[in-house]
Amino acid sequence: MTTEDRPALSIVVTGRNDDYGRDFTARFIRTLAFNHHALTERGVTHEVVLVEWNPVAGKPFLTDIIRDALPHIAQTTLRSLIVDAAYQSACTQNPKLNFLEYLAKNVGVRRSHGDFVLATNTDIFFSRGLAQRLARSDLKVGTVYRAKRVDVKLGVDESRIGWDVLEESSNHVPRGEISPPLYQGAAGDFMLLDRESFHAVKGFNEVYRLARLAVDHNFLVKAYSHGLPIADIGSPVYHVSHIGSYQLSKNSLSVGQAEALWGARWHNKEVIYDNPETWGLSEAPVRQRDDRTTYLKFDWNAVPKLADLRRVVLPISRTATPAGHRVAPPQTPSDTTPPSP
Amino acid sequence: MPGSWLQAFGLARASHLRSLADQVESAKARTGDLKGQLEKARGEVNHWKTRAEKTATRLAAAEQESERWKGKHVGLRAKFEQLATAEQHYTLAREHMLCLETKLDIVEGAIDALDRRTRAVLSTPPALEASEHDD
Repeated sequence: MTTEDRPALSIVVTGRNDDYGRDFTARFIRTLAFNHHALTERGVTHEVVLVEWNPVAGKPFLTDIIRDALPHIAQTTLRSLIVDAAYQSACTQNPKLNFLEYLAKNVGVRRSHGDFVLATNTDIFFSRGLAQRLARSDLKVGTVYRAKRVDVKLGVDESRIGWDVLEESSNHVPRGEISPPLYQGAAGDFMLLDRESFHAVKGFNEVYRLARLAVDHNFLVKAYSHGLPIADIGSPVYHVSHIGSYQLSKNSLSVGQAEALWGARWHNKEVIYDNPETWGLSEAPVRQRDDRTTYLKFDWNAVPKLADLRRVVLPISRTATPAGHRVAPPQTPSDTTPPSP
Repeated sequence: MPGSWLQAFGLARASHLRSLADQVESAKARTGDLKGQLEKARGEVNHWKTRAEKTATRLAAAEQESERWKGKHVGLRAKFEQLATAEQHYTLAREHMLCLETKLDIVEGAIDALDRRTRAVLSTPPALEASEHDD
């Protein structure tokens, strides 16, 4: 792909046809169409990289459902990477966990073409301000951009959702602000960085593969330790609460159920990683299903080592930051980021 | 000149004698006053002397105390420095412990995953294995 062909933005999302959090596919279709429209209207060239991780046996691929539902987007904007289900069982260090979300995101980040790469979730709506900011093309290379997530209350009518509904404060569920130095808090819903820097950091943690919970926060610690400043992009993203979302389910599920979905708590604020050069399953052999869908075939050579202990490292302390904040180990209040969807 | 005449015989006039007697009395009174003042001054000198002695004693004690505190301060500073170093050691040790715990989690997870894989292989029906070998 030449520089001219390259989109300004790659949006990396992951999922599978498992009805995660109920109405998964419908929610994804809604946000995909919504965000695509917002960006297209403002002339932001973009691609959506859908990583279909651990596809459910005997069910249609999520990719195909999306293609049928949104053919105009599928033909121009959507690129799908279907990852052979064998990678989930070969990579996991936690057999209870059935979706290694951040390994999947790495697959997408590694293969993104955009100048900037946004790792987000399938049920996140962009705000008006965010779309405008992306259209300004004034993002700094080497800065991790975060956006505050605004939760829209459960039960809101999503059939005709628009900015008028999303922006209405009486529809919002109160939630804390994001603050320096890490701007953590639902980070998995919005993590924007230029492609080169994402590659320099080597993506999300794929050395510790026991949890899905707080891997996004861990990335912020890693990025800051790496010397990348973190900034609030200035406008929020919206998430419509749904049955099965982390925020609603974390206190109602049993320990076993919660661990299957998100994994156990871990030292995500204190311990980071140094991914191997082959991060994002870069050595996985591929087969083109069609011009916009790639299938990553299973090959043991592409699977990261089951235990690579020397790649578990401590972050570098940074006290001489512009804001004068010490980051490592960050003693911020616990805010384990809800994986969303 | 009756005065000069009387003087020639070693005599003085009565008025002159009275005046002289008055002067003597006045001088005597003044001497008494001065003696009183002198006594008072002596008393004050003694008072101040005593106070000076007391002050000197207290000053010496304060100097001693100051030296003692100086010593204590140095000791405390050393203690604070020791405390800061200990805190740093604690932080380092904690970081390494968390790192080790994370590594142990990974090892445990890997063992668990391998265990499952092994069990899956061992529980595969032999007939199926044979057919795979035939392929």
